[in-house]
Amino acid sequence: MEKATIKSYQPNRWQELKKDIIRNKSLYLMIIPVVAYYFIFHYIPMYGLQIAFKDFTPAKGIWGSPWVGLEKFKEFFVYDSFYVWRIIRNTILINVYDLIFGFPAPILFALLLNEIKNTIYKRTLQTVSYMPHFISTVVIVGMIMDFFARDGLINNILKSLGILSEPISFMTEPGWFRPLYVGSGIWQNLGWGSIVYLAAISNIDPQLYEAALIDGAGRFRQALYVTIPGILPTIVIMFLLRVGHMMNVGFEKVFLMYNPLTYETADVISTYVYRKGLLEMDYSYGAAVGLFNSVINFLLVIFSNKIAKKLTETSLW
Amino acid sequence: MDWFKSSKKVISMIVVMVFALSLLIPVFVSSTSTAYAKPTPTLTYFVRLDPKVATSYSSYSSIAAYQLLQKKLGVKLVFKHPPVGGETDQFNLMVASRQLTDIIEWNWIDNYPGGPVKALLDKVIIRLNDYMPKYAPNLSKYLQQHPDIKKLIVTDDGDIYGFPALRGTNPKIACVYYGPQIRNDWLKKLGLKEPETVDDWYKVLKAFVTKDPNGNGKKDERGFSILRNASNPRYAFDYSSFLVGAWGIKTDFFQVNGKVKYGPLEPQYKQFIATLQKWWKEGLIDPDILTMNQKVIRANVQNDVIGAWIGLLSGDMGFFLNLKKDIIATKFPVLKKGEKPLLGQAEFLFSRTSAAITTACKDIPTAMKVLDWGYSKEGYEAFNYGVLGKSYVKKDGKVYYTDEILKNPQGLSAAEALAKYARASISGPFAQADEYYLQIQMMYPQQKEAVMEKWSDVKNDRILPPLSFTDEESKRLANIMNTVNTYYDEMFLRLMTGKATNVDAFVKTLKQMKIDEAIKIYQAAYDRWKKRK
Repeated sequence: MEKATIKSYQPNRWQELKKDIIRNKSLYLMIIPVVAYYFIFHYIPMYGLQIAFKDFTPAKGIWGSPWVGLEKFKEFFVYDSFYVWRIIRNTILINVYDLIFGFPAPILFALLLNEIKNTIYKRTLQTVSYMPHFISTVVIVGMIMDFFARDGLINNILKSLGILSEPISFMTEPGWFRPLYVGSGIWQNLGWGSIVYLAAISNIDPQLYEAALIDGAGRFRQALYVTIPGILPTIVIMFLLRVGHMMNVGFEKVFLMYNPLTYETADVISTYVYRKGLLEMDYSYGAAVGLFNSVINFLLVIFSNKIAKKLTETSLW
Repeated sequence: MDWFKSSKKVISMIVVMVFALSLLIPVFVSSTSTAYAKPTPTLTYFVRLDPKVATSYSSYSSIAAYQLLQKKLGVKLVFKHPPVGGETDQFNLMVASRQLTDIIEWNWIDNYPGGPVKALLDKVIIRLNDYMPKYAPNLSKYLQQHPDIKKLIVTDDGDIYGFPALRGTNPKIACVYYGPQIRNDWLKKLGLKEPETVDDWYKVLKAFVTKDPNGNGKKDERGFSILRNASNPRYAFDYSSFLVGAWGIKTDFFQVNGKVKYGPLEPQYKQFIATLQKWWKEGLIDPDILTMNQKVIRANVQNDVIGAWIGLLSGDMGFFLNLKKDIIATKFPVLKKGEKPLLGQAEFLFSRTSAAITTACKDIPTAMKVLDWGYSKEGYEAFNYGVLGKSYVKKDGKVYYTDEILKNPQGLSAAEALAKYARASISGPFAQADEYYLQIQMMYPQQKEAVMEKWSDVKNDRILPPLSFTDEESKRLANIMNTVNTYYDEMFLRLMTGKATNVDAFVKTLKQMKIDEAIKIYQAAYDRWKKRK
């Protein structure tokens, strides 16, 4: 009974697809490069993932290297147990900080920008705020190092204001690493991140505002009861996408910013794998840890999607 | 969808799509290999581009010595230089993708995980023993004459895996080029004597930071700093044994009477750390060494802010002497006046770099001949002196570099000027000549004094030679030492700055990280080394 329905259903599906392709030729043409890109650069290389379970040496190649099962994972969790928890903790904590402070910042900024009446001023402010997004990480870190050096701008300002007597070594104090990392991230991405929310705000039906005004809502109330609910789906989607990176921290920035004195708070999974996996040519190890990372990220996205579905009606799928 | 009917739009759409797709298809530019056989054999040669050459040329093939080699032997050398700073990445990529050049010049001992033994095992390079007598007569003869050097360049099994970069035959002048340097004018101004003991050093540094020797009325002096391209000051102590050698230990592996030891586990290590802590606490150490920011430290030496440092003989000392700074070298510090330091900078005549022939090489005899040329009389002269009448002259059978090199009209340093003609200023597969060290590395009397009297005045019988490990040992060692080194890097800085004070706890963690097993592996490798023929 069931089989029959499936059989009669499937050709239908294909026919539907055919019709759809004929109907939206141009759309399908447009998506081909993107699909091809993902297929060539993301799906085909996946066959190399097997080296996570092998003792890979370039001499023997991917096929020829011997299988070692979960040996490389054991190496990570057992032999390197001195660091494993620290680097996982640091990775997650940096992300949590970023989620708490970095995620709401562009939303607030968009809400504030939305309240500005003068368009010229508003546009200028927007442009200025997303400029830093285009500065490369290397330059940003260079700026951080200069500004926060022992004899840098920040220390000099604090000294001349009489707040400090001794300069703070921002770059070599483990306690300062996360604030600097997250803070500079906010500064860099505030304007850029707010574009999406501004677009969402401009899509809200103006009649809703009029209705709220007639009901006697002030500007603050309007924002609270019209604007925020209006962009909530966008916020949820952005949040879900963000959660998918919980186990990743931008390698370049940490790598450029940290030094052995700040390892305690700054050493993350990717930098540790770089030092061990790439510098020591232990590719299998790197692949194993990368795979572990991806699995965790994958699970996080699935879970948060489930939760989002329950709470807000908006979800990725 | 009206517009869709107009064919012009469709065609332009398709053009755009095709263009977008073409971006995705990687374009392979074939290397310029010609299909027909050439009369001259061609060899590809991977070697880092030394900055001294890079100031004049973009490839080693422009160096006069290599021009001569190619003409004499009738071969063509195609040099593949990795980007400066990205050498290791490029090398790893080359090995991983198996796109090997015919010859690779590399430090196989330190920069190939697992060392030369593993490189042979991984079929990256080939064993040369069987080809040596026939195709490399010059190197064979050289190794027969210098059995001590032969012992350094083979594996435990006696495999020869490459043509070694040798520092000549005179360890007294060739193996010493890194050590403590101090501002002589500051000493004179404050009426101090050159420091000899650890206590002297403390007094001198203390005077440097408190008595305003640079006379600008500000308290901006920094006592002691480190010039070295490393991520952590610890590696400069590892390398030079400065200060730590006073107690007869190193910061890493060394041996006493045949027994391998690891510095931090020795009781004297506590005294070394205590001394560093005292120096740090009283502001005698340059805070920039925490991040080892070489640009800033060099600038501070130039701006008369730093009083003493450890650095290179020509790259640092020569550089500052050129700027008319009054600098002298000092001996490595000891505990009691008049003692001879047990450990200082220690290098072997073999610089750990070898030019090896890879498994991709189709014409092994020619590659052997090319590399062997450096050990012939002709090759020795070309690689060390360059071109007769241009870069050097002969008087009464002695060799002298010309003013073109020593007082270069284009303002190049002597080492840079020589790099246009010869390879002496960058060690390679030949033996460096004494003249190079005496005339170029030691242009100033202060440098001569540094090498001949100060830095070479050490016992240095406790250092380990370049060891080789079995595949199994390498794996285990890499596992242990990665963990240990990450921890040690961090702890060294914390101990020095007084953030951590408990050396015993540090040692206990090292033991948990199985440092004893690593010592055992070193011991086994050292025992094998002693048996080498």
